[in-house]
Amino acid sequence: MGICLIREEDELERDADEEQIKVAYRRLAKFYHPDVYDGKGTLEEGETAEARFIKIQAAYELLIDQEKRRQYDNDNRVNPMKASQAWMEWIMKKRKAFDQRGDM
Amino acid sequence: MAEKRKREAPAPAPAPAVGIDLGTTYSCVGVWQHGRVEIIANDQGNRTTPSFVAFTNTGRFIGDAAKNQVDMNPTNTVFGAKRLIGRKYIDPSVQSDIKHWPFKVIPGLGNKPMIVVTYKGEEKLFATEEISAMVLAKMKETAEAYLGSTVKDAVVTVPAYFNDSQRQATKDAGVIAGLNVLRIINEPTAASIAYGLDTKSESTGEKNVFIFDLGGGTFDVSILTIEEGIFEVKATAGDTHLGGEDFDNTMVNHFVQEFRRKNNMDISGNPRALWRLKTACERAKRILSFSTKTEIEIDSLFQGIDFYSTISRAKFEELNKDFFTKCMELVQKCLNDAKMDKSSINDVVLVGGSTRIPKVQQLLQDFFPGKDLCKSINPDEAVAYGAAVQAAVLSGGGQEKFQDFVLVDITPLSLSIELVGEVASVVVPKNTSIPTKLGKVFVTSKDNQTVVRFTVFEGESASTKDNNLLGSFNLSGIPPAPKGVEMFDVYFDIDANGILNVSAVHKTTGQKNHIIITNDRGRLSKEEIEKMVLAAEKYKFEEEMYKKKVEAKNALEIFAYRMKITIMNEKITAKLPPADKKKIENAIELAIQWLDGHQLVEVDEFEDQMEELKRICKPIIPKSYKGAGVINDDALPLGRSSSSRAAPKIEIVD
Repeated sequence: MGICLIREEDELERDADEEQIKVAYRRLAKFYHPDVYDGKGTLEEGETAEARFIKIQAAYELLIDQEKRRQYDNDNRVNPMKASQAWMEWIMKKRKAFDQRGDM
Repeated sequence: MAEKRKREAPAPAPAPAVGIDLGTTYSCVGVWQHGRVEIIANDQGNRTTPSFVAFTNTGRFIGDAAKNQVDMNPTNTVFGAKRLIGRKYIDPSVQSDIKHWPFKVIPGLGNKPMIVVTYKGEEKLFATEEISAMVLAKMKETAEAYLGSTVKDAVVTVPAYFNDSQRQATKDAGVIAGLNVLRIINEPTAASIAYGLDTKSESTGEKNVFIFDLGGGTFDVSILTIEEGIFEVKATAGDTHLGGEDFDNTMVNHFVQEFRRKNNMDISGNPRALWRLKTACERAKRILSFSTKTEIEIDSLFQGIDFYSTISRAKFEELNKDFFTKCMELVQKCLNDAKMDKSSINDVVLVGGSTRIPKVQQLLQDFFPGKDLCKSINPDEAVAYGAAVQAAVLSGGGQEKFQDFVLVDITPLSLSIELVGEVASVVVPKNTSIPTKLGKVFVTSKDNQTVVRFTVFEGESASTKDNNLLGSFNLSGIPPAPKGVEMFDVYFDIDANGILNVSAVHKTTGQKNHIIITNDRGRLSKEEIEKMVLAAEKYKFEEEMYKKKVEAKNALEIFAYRMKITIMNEKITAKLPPADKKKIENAIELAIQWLDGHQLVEVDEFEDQMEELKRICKPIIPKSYKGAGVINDDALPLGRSSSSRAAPKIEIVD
């Protein structure tokens, strides 16, 4: 979900380059990092600036890593940009459950 | 001035939060004020204060006063507390340090190292946290003297490679010193802030910065990416037990052997001789940073034997070869961890006094060919500088100035859950950005297991027995099932303060439990801290009383001698009946004799004596003295002229 977040908020294209991702990350980090968050902005209900920042950080680390990003985009070929939040969550849950079965 | 008044006008502004670099050998304090960092000088005018605490028969001394008297009082002067803090007595590094220290360290409760000193004739035990608290209190006082108000909030720095126990113990020291520790931040990160703000105006674009921080007792390297006020720490590595002290110690060992060879005598059991040798070695080390050879000369080092020797820079480098190699290995390790090539580093920044050693600079220069080593920031003050900036950010004291400033730090060590057979299963890998939340699924290991124990460790070893235990908790009420069936989601939450919260949820029943890692067996309990806070206040109170006594005594002494001069002045005594003159002379003599026999009695007694003497001397007291309990002049040496600013009517008879 972090990935949607950083992409949606900054309207990043799927093929955004490294520089565009970094610019988006820096803008969001300066806004949502719990040390500097000033109460403005659009946190979801019950969401803390810290939780939001963790998502931003995770999305950034994924997008900036070529290998991980390719993997992610592969896994989400259905175009997550258009997928509803509920649909996304369902996919993630399914995948997690599958992964765990694999571990067993 | 005008600007200051305007800013502070609406309400008595509380003192701003300060940044304290609590070092192994020296400490430094800074504050963000009027749009910049001010590094605050102590009462001796020095911008760094020795992390030394001395105990004597009359009182306690901290900082320069403590360091200056080690020669006379080696066994009761404590230093290097940072090398003990958060460690166990049995730790090999503690054992090796004790051998080099003139003061005594014994194992205490829970194997905590305890420092033994004689204070006011009594044997006293201090926890490491208490000694560090005394140094922190000194830094707090230094800041208060400068700011003119009570300092409460502070950011305190620790080596990036400190583990959780060492960080928590440092935080406890802050509490004992009466500080509210806003955050514990990493030293190289703090230094990078100093560097980042220093170069902000002249650079654009992303910069990868390598911080090489070699101080008095610890070594850290960090790689950061800095751009537009975002400080992202990429990787960190280090050794919490490698620094200038170690270089001094190898030299001491070298000369102890030389002394043994020359004189067939072993000085290693004599704290005073060792301290004098160590001081000489430290000095020699500093000289060798700009000279290729130096001499060691100590008169009457041991049993009346003088010690003279020389040491070359090459010899010094040879003695410490292994330490320098270790440093460079960690430089490479940090680059590997950051998945960066050394060619992608833009700047190499030197921090810490030991980076003045030419060999260290040369090795770094060879490692990063073609890169200038950045020496523009003060290696002794950079850490306190950065801490002061972070203190202002966290307390909101900097306002709009810091809107563009964010620090994203990382966890230096991996965090794991223990599996069967003392295996560490890593949940949060080292060098993960914080704040963070990471999870992993675990399963039961036995058939019909109803209670599961989650034990949290920190460290890089695959076996938990070599890692640092952080804490543990149980989850009970699990329905019986074959092993491996029941599953648990375990989450590690680390907030921006580095506080770790580990929680576990049983998947099917939703049973949950969690632990906030702020406590482990080596740490002080809340009660112990409270006791130490009270003790610290008591010591401070005693010190103030001592100061008052000294002041009262000095006042009486000065007054008595001044009267003695006055009574000899014929102009003043001309109209005095000879009997009265005799009486005054006697009273003055008595007072001086009494002073000789009563060096430090209660303040009241000095004051009583003063009143009595004043009453008798009244006829000769110049008008400017009337009603003055305190004499507003420096000590007036007998028989020498003084400035006329306090008592113009007194003429001095030579």
